[in-house]
Amino acid sequence: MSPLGKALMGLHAWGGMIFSWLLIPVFITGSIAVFEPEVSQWMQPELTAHPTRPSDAVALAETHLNEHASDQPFWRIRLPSEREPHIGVAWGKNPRQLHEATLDAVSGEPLHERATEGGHFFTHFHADLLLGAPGRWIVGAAGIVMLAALVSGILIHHRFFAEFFTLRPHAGKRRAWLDLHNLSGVASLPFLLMITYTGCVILAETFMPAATHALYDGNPRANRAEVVKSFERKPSGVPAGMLPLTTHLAAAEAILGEGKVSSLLVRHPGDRNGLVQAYRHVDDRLAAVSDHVTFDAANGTLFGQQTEWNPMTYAYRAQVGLHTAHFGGLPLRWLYFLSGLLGALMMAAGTALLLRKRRQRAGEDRPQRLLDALGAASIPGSVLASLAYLAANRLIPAETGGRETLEIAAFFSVWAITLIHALLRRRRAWHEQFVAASAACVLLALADTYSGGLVDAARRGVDLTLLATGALLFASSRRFFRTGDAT
Amino acid sequence: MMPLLVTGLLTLVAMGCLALGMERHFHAWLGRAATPRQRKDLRLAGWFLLAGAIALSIRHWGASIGPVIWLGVLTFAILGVALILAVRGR
Amino acid sequence: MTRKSDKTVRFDLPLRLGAAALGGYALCWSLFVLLCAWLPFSKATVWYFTGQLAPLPLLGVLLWAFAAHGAWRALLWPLALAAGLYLLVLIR
Repeated sequence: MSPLGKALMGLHAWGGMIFSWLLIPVFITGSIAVFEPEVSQWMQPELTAHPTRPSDAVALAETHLNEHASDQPFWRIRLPSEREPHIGVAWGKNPRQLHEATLDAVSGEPLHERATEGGHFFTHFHADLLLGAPGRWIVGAAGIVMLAALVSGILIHHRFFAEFFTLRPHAGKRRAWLDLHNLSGVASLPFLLMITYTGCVILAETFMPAATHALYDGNPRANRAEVVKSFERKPSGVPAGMLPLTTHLAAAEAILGEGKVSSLLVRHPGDRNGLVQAYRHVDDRLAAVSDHVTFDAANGTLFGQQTEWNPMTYAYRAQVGLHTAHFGGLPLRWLYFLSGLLGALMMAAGTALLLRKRRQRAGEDRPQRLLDALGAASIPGSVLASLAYLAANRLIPAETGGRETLEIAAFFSVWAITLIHALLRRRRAWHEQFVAASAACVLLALADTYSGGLVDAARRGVDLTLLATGALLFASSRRFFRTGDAT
Repeated sequence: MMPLLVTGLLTLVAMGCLALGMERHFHAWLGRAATPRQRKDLRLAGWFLLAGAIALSIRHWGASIGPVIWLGVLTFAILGVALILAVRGR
Repeated sequence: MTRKSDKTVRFDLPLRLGAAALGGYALCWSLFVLLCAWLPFSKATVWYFTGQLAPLPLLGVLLWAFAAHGAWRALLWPLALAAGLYLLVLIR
């Protein structure tokens, strides 16, 4: 191999493996995050799911808000959707920090769902490892290395493209891992390039603010203010009756489309200067751009609308949209979910391959044991951590204070335990963790089903996925790790 | 569901044709060597079916979302063909 | 691949990654500043345009950092290019 080839190989193999310790959990949580609302529904079994008409839901929400928040300057109503079939209401003095509640879509009764981060934990961890801005730097850096690993992989294996349907599962362990790595990589290549690039673009808002500094003096709000028109006015202090919100909803649907309104924001209800703002949902377009329209609350006249945006905004937000995948319905969500896991498999197979190569050369020395353990913690380990989070949701009673934090603590503690377990049990750890993960999947699915999981489509979906995952993990443990000499 | 299945099936068969258009896989599948003409015909059929699948995706999901879904389906069509060939090769 | 060259490659990795980070960040920053100064479009258009390009210079410098003959060269060229681009900004 040429010196350039060797250097790229070093970047690809070692850069790839080291960053895969982070990227595999990011990919796994990212795949789960595709189904964030469904996972949240699973984690809050108190939530009901009833079909309803948007106008009925808005009327019920308005009644509730009039009863409980008539003096508050800001109201928000999240209309029920197919994925979140209940009403979200919120109120408060600061639009960025509103007190929230959930109502049954048909009766309007408050549902006292248990406090939890729900599926959003996976999205949050995926985006910034729960570390905020430093986390976005870290994940962003990992994303750039991933892109480099993809490109170097293509450059190194370019001859492989002539034979890319080849899979020789019985040709010997090293060949089998290489074939699995190549096949899963090539098959998911368009997805991997797209998802990694768009992910980096999103994170670059945080870690590469050069344009914000050059154009807006470093103030990101100034950029947003220039692009997103805001229609606001100060309260007059003069009370005035508000037209029913269903009237405003109808007016909004006339502009945004029937059934296309995702939420309503009411500014200063009961004031003469009150405004009602309706936002359009983004699940029928590639660009994640939410059109909006604002009406005078008292007389219903149009106060402002934004349905046309800067052309470059559509292009940029298409990148965001491609990554967050609100469009395309169920088929696209499953394609993204499975492709993400395929990407994780590609990285796992690559790790197994490199670990095997190194062991054959250097034996079972201390660095090898550490690398093995880190691999186990990132692959079966992060699966076990995710399952622990779900299990904690059911094991911790619904009324316990601070339970959201306890659930997250379960994720990180189990993750730490898998690393310690892998350091102690060495190569047997892979098999043991795969079996444990498989058992946990099946137990969780059965436990949820027997506690009423069959009534709800979202919960059924999660339970079936858990069962399928459990079966797959068990089959993998037998096929790859039973004799302890796979990696 | 139906458009997804039809697109998936078309893409799977298309990739199958492209795979069989390669000497190695033709031989593994049919146990004999292919003539250049046969391989060319298979590849042509493959590209043609692929175009059909893309057209179907665009027709059903629109010009921006259609290609995205088709690319996603392509991933699994490639996997499907590889797995079928691997199983057959045993 | 001999043992020695293995070790060199492995030791090299953190140095080159560091060079990639510093050089890539500098190059990306000055490229953005240049585009913001030179492109004749509205501020919002330029902001949304540059944002879409962010991964490219970082990726390019990372690949360069491994293609270059030494870790020092890996750092030097991107920094030199970044400085050059910044000079172009000052001209404006």
